[in-house]
Parts: sequence; structure tokens; C-alpha cells
Amino acid sequence: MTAPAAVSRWRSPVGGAAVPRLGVGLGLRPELEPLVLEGTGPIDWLEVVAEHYMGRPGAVERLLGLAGGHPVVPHGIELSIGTEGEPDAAYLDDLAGLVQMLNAPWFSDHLCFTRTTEFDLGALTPLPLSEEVARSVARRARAVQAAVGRPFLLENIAYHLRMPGELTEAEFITAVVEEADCGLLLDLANLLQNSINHGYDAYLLLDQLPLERVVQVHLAGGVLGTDGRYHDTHSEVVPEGVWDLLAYLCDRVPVAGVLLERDQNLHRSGEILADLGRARALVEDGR
Amino acid sequence: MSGVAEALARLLVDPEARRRLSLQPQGLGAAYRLTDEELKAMVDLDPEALELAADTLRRKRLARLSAVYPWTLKALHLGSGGALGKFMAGHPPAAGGGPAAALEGERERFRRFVAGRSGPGADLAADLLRFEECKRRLAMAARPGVHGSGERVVLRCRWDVLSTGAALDLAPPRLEPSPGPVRLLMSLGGTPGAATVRIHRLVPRER
Repeated sequence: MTAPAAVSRWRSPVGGAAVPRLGVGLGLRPELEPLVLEGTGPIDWLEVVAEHYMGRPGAVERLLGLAGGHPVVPHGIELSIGTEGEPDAAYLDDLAGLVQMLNAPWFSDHLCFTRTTEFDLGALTPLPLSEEVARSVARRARAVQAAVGRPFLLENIAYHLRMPGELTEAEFITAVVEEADCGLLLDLANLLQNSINHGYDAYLLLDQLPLERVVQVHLAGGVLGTDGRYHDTHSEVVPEGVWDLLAYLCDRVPVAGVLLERDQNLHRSGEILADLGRARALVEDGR
Repeated sequence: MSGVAEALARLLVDPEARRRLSLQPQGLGAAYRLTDEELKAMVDLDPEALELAADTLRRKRLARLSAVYPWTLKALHLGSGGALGKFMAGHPPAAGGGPAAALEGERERFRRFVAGRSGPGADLAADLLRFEECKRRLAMAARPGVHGSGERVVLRCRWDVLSTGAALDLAPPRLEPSPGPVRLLMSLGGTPGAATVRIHRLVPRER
């Protein structure tokens, strides 16, 4: 494999370099392993749920064998960057160990909270859109990035509940990633869902984000419910609305990694391969 | 974290707190030391969206329990007058010790809840729970640290119903109703285990 070219405009404060271009990737699920092993699809890299491998060197070795030399990026779901207090030291140790074992070019988690002092919700929950919360989250994100020693990306989440606060969603995201000096994992399916369910212009929001910090993109397909709400179920082909957003984004900034998330209807490999192929074509057009 | 997020978490896990929000919001404000402005923001939350978010959370909790205790949940869902709803409302997902410990705490609360029930269907649910817990412990003992990473664990059992089952991904049961207790002997990766189960009725898991 030749070394991938560096593409991001954002230069991480850790590592000292722009992040490399990975191309088009697939979120690894057990049922998708045969697709990866076949090696015929347009899959340049893999993303895995970080917590499934943290502190499990045997599982990581197996994963590296499966990846066959392709880059693997850990994507966390339990960091809970919005929870008050210091990030859990043992968790960060395990995460740093995983990132090192994978030699991952970056790692990511969600801009949300999943637990409070009282409850462990186990679900990505939106944060109050306040300056105080943004500063607090940014301080922790900066600490996480420093502790792990690789570029850290935060992902915008989908939400049913629009949270109160003096900032807009775009202002909140911007405040966090700029103050933390971390990258942005832009989930275009989440953006589409929120724009439909909360009645705003996704492109307007996109224009208000610091796009130069976008390192990675998530694509996924959901369903429009009978209640008129869009549900990002990761079960269907990527909808045209998401492809349009990706094309819009690729026209403006280079994106180091485009990743397809699929969690249901995993047997429909034809759909998955078609989505991956379309993503690759779009990304290559944008070069 | 601001009191707003703490209060929101309470609203998401506690139906009674949601009900009181419109009637007596001062209680929530006092409990989480919200300013007048913050409390007003909570009261102004879209009630429909709040219920939707709470329902999403409830379903995620059920999905996590169902991954380990699918037959038990099916038995509770089928036969016991809102038992699952009572568990969800009465046993919020307490924090403590990190996500893994919190998840184990949730399972422990669920096991106590099922074991403590009485009335129609309670025995069946309790038996299924013991069986599924035995399988889980067997699987974890045999392949520590592998679960959740995509490894499929296959149990070898004396009965066809379990021959293709995996600890976290059971095939639909095909056993005929059996009137009395049966002892299931299993081995996984050389680790022996056993469970005593009384099968009253089994319903294939929906795919």
C-alpha cells in the first residue's frame, strides 16, 4: 500500500500533521465480515465500535487480521464527553491502548452525554446549547485528545428533543471543536434527520459549521415514519438527501474519510456495495 | 454538567417526573437547582418530543436486556400485564462505576425484579431467566472479553432446540411444550454448565 496523501486543512495539535486521506470505509459489524473478507468491494478502511475492543488484545489481533492491512479507526459510544467531571482515566488508558494497537490515524466519539451523576442512559443524548456547557465539553475534549495522543473527532448526533440554550446548534458545535481544537465527524444522515424533524435548512447549518475541521463523514439510510418523522435506522440505502449533502460538502472541502454505517438489513450486500461505490465516485470527483 | 442536563436525564427515565413537569415544575427545579430561566426552558420542552426521546431510551434499554435475556423478555411481554413497563419505570438505569458496571447493574436489577415476581407466568419467566443467565456465564467464562466484538459463540447442548443457539443470538426455539422441569447440560469451549428449566410454552422469536 502506498502512503495516503494528507488532505485535511485542519492540523491536529497532536501528531503535528494533517490527517491522511483514507477514502471510503465501512462500519464493521459481525454480519459484514464476509463482505470485508471477500475483498472485492470498494472498502478502503474500517471503523469499529471502540468499546468492543478496548482492553481486549485478542479481539484486536483478530480484527487486524480481518482488516488485512487496511486502516482501522475506533469510534466510541460511551465516552460521554458531556458528563461533568474529569474523563475516566481507566477508560482513556484503554482507549489510548486501542488507538496505539490499531495505529489509527484518528479516533472519534459523539458530541452528547450518555450519563449523569444519577443515571447511565446508555443513549446519545443532546446537550444544552449553552456557552458554559460548550466550554466545559471543550476542556474535556482537549484533555481526551492529549491523553490519547491522536486527532480526536466529535460527531454531531441526531436528536428528537431540541435542547434549550442561548446558542444555535451550529454555534454550539463550532464553539466546542474550535475551543478544543479537535476535528469534526459530520454525520450527514443525522444532519438530514434533524433538518427534517425540526424543520430547518441543512445546507444553511452546514454553511455555519467550521468545515475546514471536517475530517470524516458518516453516511446512512433511515426510514420516514408514519408520524412524518425521519428515523436514522441505518437500515436502508443512503437517501438522495444525504448524497446531495455529501456532494455539497465535497465541493467545498476535502474529506479524509467517508464511512457507510449499516446496522440492519445487513444481508442486503448489493445495496451496501452500491452505496460504497457511489460514495467512492463522489469522493474521487471531489479530489 | 449543567443542572439542565441532569434534569433532562431524570425526565427521560422517569414517567412520573414528566407528568409532574407541567403540573408542579418547581419540584424539578429545586431538585436540580435550576434557575428560573432554566426551569422555564424545561417546561417549554416539546412534550411530544420528550415522550419520543423517552421511548427511544426505553427501547434501547429493552434491546440491551433482550440481547442477553430474549426468552425472558418474551415471557414477560406475553403474559404479565405490563411487567416490563413496571420494571422500566420502577428501576431507572442508575449510574456508577462506568458504562460496563452500569449495564451489569441494570441486568442485576432485572434479575432481582424477575425473581421477585409472583402470579401467572412468573415461574416461567424466572426459569427462563436462570437458564439464560447460565448460558451467559458459560459463554463469558469460555471466551472472556470476546463478547460484543463479533465473535459468535455456539453452544452444544443435548437438545436440538439449543444446538444452533448462540449466547447472544438465539435461534428461534423449536421445542415442544414440556410439563416438568428438565436439566439442560451444556458445554462450551470445554467448560461444562447446567441449568434446570421448566418449559411451559415457547414462542419463536420474531425476526
